[in-house]
Amino acid sequence: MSPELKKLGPRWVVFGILGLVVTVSLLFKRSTEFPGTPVVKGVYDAVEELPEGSPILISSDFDPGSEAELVPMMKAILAHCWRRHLRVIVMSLQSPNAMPLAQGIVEEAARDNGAKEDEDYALMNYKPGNLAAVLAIGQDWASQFPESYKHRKLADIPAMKGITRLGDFKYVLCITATTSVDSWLLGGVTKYGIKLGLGCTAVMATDYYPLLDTKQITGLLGGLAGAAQYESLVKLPGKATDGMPTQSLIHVTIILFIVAGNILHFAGKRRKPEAA
Amino acid sequence: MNLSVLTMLAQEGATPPPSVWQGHTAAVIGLWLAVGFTLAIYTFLYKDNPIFKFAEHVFVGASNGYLLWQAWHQTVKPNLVMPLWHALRAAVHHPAGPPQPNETLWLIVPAVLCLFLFLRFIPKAAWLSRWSFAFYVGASAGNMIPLQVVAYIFKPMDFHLRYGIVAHDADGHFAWLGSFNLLATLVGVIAVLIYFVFSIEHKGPVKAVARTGVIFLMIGFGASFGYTVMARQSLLIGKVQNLIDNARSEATEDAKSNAPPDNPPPNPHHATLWLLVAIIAAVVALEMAKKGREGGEVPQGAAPPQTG
Amino acid sequence: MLHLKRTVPLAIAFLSGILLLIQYFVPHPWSAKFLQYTSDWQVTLAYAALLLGVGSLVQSHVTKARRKAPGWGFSAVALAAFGITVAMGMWWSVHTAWQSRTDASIVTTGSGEGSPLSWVYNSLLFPMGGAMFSILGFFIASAAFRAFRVKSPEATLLLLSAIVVMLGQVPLGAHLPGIPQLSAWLLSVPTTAAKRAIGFGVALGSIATALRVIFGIERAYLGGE
Repeated sequence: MSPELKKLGPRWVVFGILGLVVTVSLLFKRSTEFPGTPVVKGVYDAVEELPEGSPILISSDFDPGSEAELVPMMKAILAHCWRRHLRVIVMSLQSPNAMPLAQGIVEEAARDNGAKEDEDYALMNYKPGNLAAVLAIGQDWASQFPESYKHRKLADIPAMKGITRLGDFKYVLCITATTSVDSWLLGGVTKYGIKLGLGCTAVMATDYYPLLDTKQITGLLGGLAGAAQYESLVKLPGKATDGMPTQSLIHVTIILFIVAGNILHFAGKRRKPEAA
Repeated sequence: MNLSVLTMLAQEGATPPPSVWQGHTAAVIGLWLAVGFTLAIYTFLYKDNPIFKFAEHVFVGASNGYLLWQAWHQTVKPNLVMPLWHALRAAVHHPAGPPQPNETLWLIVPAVLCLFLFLRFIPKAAWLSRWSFAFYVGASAGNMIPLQVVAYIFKPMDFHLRYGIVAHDADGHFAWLGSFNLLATLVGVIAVLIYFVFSIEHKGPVKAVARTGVIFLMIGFGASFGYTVMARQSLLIGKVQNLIDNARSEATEDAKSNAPPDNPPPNPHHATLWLLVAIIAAVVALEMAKKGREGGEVPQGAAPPQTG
Repeated sequence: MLHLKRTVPLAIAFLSGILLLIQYFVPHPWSAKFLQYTSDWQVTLAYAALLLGVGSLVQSHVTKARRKAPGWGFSAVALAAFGITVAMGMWWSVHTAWQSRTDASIVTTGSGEGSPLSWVYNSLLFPMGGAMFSILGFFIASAAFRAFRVKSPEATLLLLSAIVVMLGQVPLGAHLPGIPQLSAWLLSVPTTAAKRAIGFGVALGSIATALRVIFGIERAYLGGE
């Protein structure tokens, strides 16, 4: 590292600038609408095409570690589903910590959209085993979910009417921060022929672009940007839309960091031979 | 614990009435703990320190304790213990109720396999856990092979063979850009695959193709980096927003509207600011104490960070 | 004894693997039933494995605390947090079970709504889980500043691609001519091609590993002697 970089570029400066940019831009935030791209619209259109009353499965495969990215996404999707009068069933393949988070999101969204528990939505449990869990519910839903998250028998839940296996769902949406999407792809799409949509953290997004042109997924929502685009499509600006101006500013800051780092590096390198 | 309580632990019902843990005091304490532990974790930005380590270990301990109960109530009890118990009772002609499809004596197999798995804690019988692992690993392998072949190999090959390099627009006319994209994708896939074939020497035409593969890889990795930046910063935005909300004296309008009508959110009373001062003071005090222990010697620079 | 310790597990892996592999090609109700049972067992075993992990973690912290190894105090903190959480769950289970004797509408649960574990989740696990990951935001910025160098044509390409995608993924980029389109193209063509080829490799690798497991060549899951 160049001496300039050593002097000016300790991580403290980077951390300080970044912290300041985030804090200040959040204090003076202004929402900016972010129009949906075709990739995001693929999920929106799939939900839009479902007949009223269709069951839709949401696999809420994330825990609080990815909450900031995926909660706004899930809320926008839930609002869209209920606006279309779909029956939403929520489960998780991620971790035991995922379902309490999903419960909070669903109940808050249900209050906002006037959806009723057990009629418009039902919460199931977390299932470990990834592919095995998908294969098991593909054969018999009740073998894995004999009761709901709140310990109610399936027969007592109107939202579960007519659902005996995974194939009974008209659409499955995997909102994930893990590789659970691979299990849905292998077990759900490949084995049982379900229609799959994907909402994932931005870190994972590029890995799943190859599934788009092969139509293995109908669309992809990547991170906060994907969530903001979905909010824009359903015309329900929320936390993702609110976060976009700050996100823009941070991206510019990081680009400037990269440029500054390179300038200091090459300036230091040029000076070294002169000094020698 | 007596047997009647154990039996009751397995009974079903509905949600209990509001408890003290949903009350105002619990919410206030919870809010201050949440802010305090968040800031404690942020002290890692300075360096790995006892305050961060304390928060980290509380997180590890509490999340595992939580996981234990979630595991019992969400799967082990409804999927294994109760159905097996009912199946056994039915087998000895003392059914607990009408038979359910999941109440089968076949559940003895996973019960035994689970038991074997836990024998790993008993050194003399630990080898039996291999049977459980062998079943799990073998079954996963058997399930995965045909599905992987179809999903990750046949399906993309089918796409490229079906569409080739000629694309048409909605009206059925030849689409230049679409065709170029199809060609570029096909070239990219082949070039990257050739780059990863190390059993042939990369020289001559192979070198040129491999170099093309590198170009595609670099663009792909760059895009991944761009997305990764977005992911990490989104999480940071969410957390900083939360800290800002808790630096206010009153709960935000957003929090008030999102809370259930009968359970309003507590006011933070500048929790972030107070706790920030307290945690900075604690870090400084710990550093001074450490320096004191080291005989007043000035350390040669801060300890290197463990990540980043 | 060696047969029980080595041959039997290898036979179990072979039989379960080969039978499930064949099962994929047999569309018979018995075959479907076999898949259902084995998948159910795998899910149950996965939960047991999760609990095994919790047990191992507790065991390692107990050992560290007992031996007073460096940092043992933090192990004691982890054990205390674990013990308190488990006790809270136990208390709530007993409490709700007791209440349900007189009120059938009450659920017997360890971590349901209104439970102390629910409070622990909201006050500790939820905020700390998010905070742990969010600090990476600072480190990735630091890495961008200190390590992202234009040292070669390939590195330049990587950098340009990153910058275009970063700008294309935020509303600001929409105001820069060509950036959204270029970003979308980079993702849908070169990135897709690269990731698809990597996917091929990963799939071939995991299929080879799966075959090695079934035929007993890969034995790492058996552990040591």
